[in-house]
Amino acid sequence: MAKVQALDREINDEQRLAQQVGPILEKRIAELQETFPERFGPVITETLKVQIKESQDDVVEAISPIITKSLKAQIKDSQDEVVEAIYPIMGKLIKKYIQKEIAKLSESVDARMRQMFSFKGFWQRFIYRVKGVKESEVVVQGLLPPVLEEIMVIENDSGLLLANYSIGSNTDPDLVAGMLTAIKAFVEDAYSKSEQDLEYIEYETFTLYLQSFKSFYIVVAISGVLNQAFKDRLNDAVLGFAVKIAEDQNYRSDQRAMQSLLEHHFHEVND
Amino acid sequence: MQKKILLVGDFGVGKSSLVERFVYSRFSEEYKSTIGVVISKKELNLEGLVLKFLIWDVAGEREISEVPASYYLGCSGLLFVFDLTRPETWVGMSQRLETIRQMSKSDNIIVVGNKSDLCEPSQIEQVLDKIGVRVDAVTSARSDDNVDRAFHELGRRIVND
Repeated sequence: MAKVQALDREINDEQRLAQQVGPILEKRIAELQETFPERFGPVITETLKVQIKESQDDVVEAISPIITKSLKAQIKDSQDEVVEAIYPIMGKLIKKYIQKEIAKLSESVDARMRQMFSFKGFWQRFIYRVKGVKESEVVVQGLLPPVLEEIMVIENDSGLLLANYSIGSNTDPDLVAGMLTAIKAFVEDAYSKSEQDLEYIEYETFTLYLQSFKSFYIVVAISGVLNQAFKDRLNDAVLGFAVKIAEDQNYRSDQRAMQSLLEHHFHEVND
Repeated sequence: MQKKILLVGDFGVGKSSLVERFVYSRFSEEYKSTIGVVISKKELNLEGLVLKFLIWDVAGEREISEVPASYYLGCSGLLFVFDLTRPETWVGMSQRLETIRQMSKSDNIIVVGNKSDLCEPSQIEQVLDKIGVRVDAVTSARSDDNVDRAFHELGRRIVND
């Protein structure tokens, strides 16, 4: 009877019970914490997989804004770290791209050199030497052939565009015509060369060739390296066009006619 | 029909702001000094006639003769802009207008007093009295007052010329 009473006290006295049970429970919890991922991980993963598969759209919809927001915040807060993380990858990509481009250039140079050392090549070199043309220039010209990009006919004083012929350029020709006229006027004013005209504006392998006439000037935009044959074709086209305009003043008042005359004279320059 | 027009006047009078308002319908509180010249384009419909303006916004100069003479070549009309709040931008205006006429060989000059939003109507009246030259438009690029009217007035003068 006394044993039963003692047991009753042990159970009903909370403090005593806690003293007895507490360490046991703490031990079990610690064990569970250690073994939880191992014991329940596969079950939870499987359940999540099924859940995500069944309601993929809902999950994406729910998570996307949070992920995007936190990514944005993360990038904003740690720009330096992001740069540091991306830099090696970008660097590698750029390096790879440059290597590829150099390989392409090297192949083109090799092909060009092979051609130069063939019988035909020797004959051509002989001709170049007779004409006084540098072989290096010929090689470079072969790699970057000149391409006529755009032609503009611009009124001398006002800078208003009279006609233009473009091959894929998406600039506003009216504004370009105005700015070119301002640049031309500025250069000619600044150096007090009213008797002389600005003839070239160069930007790396892009050239603006300007040819002035009495009341208008022609601007030809060319990409690539100019060669003599191209210059000759271009000059022929420019002069041919100017002569036609001078001969028939009606072109000045008929923008469409001038436009088609321009196309007629310049469409073969690129061939 | 396309015509070249010029905006001239002292620095900071709001020439570029007038162009921004007229061409792009916007205004910026930020002041950016124009370097050289900025060219913009805008088509106007004048009672059925479409007039394309190539607008040369020339860098502000106190002395009109400081503007490269070649910028005036071939222009059909001009807007001379002054600041209603800065007397130095409108003193000696008749002499300056004469210089502009000689350089541009054009009589189509619209005189514009800008920044009306910064003045009381009575102050504007006082300024207009003092200037001694007919002012064609009192504008505000910020609040879009009379900006279109000024450019349209120039368009009408050019067409009727």
